[in-house]
Amino acid sequence: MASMAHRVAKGLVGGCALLLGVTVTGCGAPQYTYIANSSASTYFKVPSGWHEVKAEALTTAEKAVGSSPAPWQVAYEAGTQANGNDFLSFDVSHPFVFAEVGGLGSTASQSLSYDALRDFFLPVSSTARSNFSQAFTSRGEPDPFINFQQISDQVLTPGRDGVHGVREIFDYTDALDGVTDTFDEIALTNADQNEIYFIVLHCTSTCYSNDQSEINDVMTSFTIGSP
Amino acid sequence: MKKAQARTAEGVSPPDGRVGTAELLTRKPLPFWDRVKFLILLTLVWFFLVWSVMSNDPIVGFTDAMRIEVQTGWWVFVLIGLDVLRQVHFAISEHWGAYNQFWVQKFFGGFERATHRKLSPWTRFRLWRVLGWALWIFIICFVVGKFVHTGPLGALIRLPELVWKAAPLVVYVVFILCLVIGQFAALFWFMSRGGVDVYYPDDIKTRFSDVWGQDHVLERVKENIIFLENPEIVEEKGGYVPGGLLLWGPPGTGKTLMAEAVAGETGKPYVFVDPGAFINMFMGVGILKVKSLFRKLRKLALRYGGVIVFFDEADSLGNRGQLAPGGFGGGPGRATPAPFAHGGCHGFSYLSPDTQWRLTRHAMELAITDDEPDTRRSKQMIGGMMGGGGGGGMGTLQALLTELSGLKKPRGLVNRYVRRILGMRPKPPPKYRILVMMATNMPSALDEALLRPGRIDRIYKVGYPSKAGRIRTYEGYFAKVRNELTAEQLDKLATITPYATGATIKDLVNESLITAIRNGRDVITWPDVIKAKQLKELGPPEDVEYIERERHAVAVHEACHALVAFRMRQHMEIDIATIEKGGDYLGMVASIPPEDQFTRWRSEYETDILVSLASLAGERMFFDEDSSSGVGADLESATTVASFMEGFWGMGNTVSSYSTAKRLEVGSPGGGAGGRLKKGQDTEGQARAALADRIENNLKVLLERTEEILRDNRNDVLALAHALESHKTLSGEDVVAVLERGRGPLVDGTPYADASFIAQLDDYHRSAARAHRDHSHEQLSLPVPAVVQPWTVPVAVAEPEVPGLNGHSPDPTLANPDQP
Repeated sequence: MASMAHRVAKGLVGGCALLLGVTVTGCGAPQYTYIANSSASTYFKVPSGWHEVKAEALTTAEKAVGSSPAPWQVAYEAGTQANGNDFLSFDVSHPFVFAEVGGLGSTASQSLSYDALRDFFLPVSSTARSNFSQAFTSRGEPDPFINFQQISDQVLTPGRDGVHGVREIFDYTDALDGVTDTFDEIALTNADQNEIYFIVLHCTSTCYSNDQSEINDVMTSFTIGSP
Repeated sequence: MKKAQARTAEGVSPPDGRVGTAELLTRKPLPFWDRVKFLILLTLVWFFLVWSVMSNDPIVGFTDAMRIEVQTGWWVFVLIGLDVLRQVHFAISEHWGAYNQFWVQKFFGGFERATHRKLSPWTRFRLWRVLGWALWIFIICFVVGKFVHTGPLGALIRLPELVWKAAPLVVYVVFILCLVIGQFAALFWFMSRGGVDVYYPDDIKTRFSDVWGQDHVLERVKENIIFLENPEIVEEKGGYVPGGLLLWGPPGTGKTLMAEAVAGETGKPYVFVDPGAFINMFMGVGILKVKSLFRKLRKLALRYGGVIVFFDEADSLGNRGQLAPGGFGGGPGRATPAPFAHGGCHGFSYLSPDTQWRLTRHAMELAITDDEPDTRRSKQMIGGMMGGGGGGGMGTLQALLTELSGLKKPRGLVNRYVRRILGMRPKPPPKYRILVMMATNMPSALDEALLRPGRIDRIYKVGYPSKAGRIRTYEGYFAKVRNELTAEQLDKLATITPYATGATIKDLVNESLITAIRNGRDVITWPDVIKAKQLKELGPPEDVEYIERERHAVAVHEACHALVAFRMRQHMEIDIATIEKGGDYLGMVASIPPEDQFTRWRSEYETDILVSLASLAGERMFFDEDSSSGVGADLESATTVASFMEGFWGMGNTVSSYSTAKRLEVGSPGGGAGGRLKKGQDTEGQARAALADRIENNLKVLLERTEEILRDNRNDVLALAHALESHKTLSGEDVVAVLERGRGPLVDGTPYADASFIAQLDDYHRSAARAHRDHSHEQLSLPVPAVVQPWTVPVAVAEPEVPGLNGHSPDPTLANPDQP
């Protein structure tokens, strides 16, 4: 009986020591910032040093190119501060990540294909690139994005509830100043193809090469859970 | 040392219930578990928060989740810090008296003194209650705030909105709960129905005139009905109407009939509670039944101005075990040791209290040892509900007690609460005129609390009817069927059925009618009644045929009993003599007391012994000193009675009670002189030997007297044996007829007046005795009277030959012409 009491007492002391250890362990800041859209079960993380882009700045940047904001969108940028204009600009020296979740209409849903997912942000498929180029040529304007270089083309089937999509890594060069940026994007849709989950990260090719490990952590953390 | 003194001061609290804190120098050391329990709890809370972070975001790792919660769950660490601070404070208080005294006396003591001085206890209670509520609201708001990602204040503001949003879910849950509870409620409601029947005036036709033989109790019951219908008779004079009545007594004595008569006579509704009404499968149903019953009673009482409720077989309500010492019923101060114990000749209230107590204790010991035979079954605990109760059990009895006492409490939601809110006192309830009647044949099984005045005010014993009552009952039942019985025969019938109850009388009348119908008649005659009585008392004979010599031996055996009983026993009357084999006997002579006699005398016991010894004396006399084992039971009876006479009742050569002398270890007369014992002297053994010798001597003397009686009445024995062999069973009147050479209801005794026939009987006996001795089958056949007189009934139309008070003439010599 006494030995049992002794064991209990030791256990309690051990528990307190564990608490102390945990406290010490937890004293540091988290390594990552975790971004979640609980209602859409969409999660990803960025290193804790990255800064969130203000929603207003992001909307302004989107409106500047004639795009409308998604119901849920968020952007983070590495570096000392975040700048909304870096979203749709070349020559971004720090990784800039943008994610959104949006719905698809019935027409878009029925015509949705892997190529459509590839071309969700920038023209990636050969058809899309050709159409994009012809559109500028027909207007008598030069093609703004040149030197497309496909680095990776991967079809993703995370295997949960029929979610599927693509991950594309490619380079584009800005025709005006000749700077090449690397784009890493994931476009996923659900089994009914009425939701789209999108994340894109870009920065200069040099930056991408240098921070590839960190960037890969961000991209692979993009998770769609069970709604 | 100071610490030790301080700790010993915790033993007994001062009268105000508080420990003298001034004497406690240091704080009592806290057990280890109490010291760390809040720390452990808060740690678990914190880990729960970590887990919630991980479960909310599947990509968050354990380490990052902990780091996140270190930042967001800061309040847990604040609480942990506060508890650590508290424990440090306690630890210091446990070792540093001055520090402890500062906090106890100055800080908290000062605060307490100030609050006690300025605030009343009620205000303090309300303040603490407000603080308690505020704390809980804060905690709830804090938790809700965590869920809705806002602060406690924001959560408080949003609380109505959140409640409104959650309302459908709450309503749904409440609905489901109501559904589940409703199922149980409906089940219990259905199960709590039944077992209670309400009869309204004129529903029952039984009247007081239908209750016979219990006039003394009936008068009292009638009185209760008068009080129920006209309570002003008592209440205007400052008294109150007795509200409870218990009728107890042996089965079949008319308790239920009396209650029915009450229902028939009164102009109030009558509620009959079935004995099994409170036996239920589920706990609580009985309580519901009681409450439902009394709700109904109150309603009926108000509507009809009174109501009678009758609990039949009230022992089914059970009891809660032994009475607390000194309570109602048991113990000294009463006329008898317990409310339902058999009373002595004069009770014992004339004795001193100490003597009363000793006798009570002795009576209780006897009750345990004597009343409970030590059988295997009795050793087992069967049921044992609530410490010996059983019956309704499971709160039913308590509910009944509460309802019986609670008839004067204010009732009703509006009356008790709304009136109070409006500043009005609740109205007292109206006077519910409820007469509670209970009937039982096991009054000792009732709970003592049930029997206290206020619940059951009057307890009446409905015992066996007196002879007059039995006559009245016989008259009543025989009036309903055709019969030829005379008043004298009814008187005789009442005499020979001393313990008859209303139920047994009714049964006997019915059996008589069946006997008459079996014989092709529809009018009951006296022999029908006698046959019916024999059938009821002895059951149907086994139809076992004795071999002739054994039949004669049994007949002689029983004839000896009957003769000595007839000649010597004045206080008993022969009821039946038979040689028909029953379940556990070869033959018997049964006697009954002709009168309701409550005391027994030495002469009577002596004649009892004579009758018992008659079988041994007779067998020895008629069978050449041979005797059978059939006398064993007779000798046991004789020895027992003789032992009691000698050792207990002061009817022998000594006065002192042997049982008391043995119990108190004071020795007995004949047990040697007091003082120092000689080596090897066994006073107890000597006492026993002396007592046994005296008993044996007494029995020998009585045996000699029996032999003398039988010698003197040898012819009568043979005549009686012949009648028994011829008819197998004789009624008491037939026995008298044979011995007095007259005519009985079934047997004609006149042939036995013929000396030549008696000579034949003697020859027959000698041949039977010879056959017995030689174990041969050669013996004379049973003699038949020379003039066979066909004996026909009825006797009732003939002039009745009414015997004397005891069934025969008081002077045996006059009754028996053969008597020398």
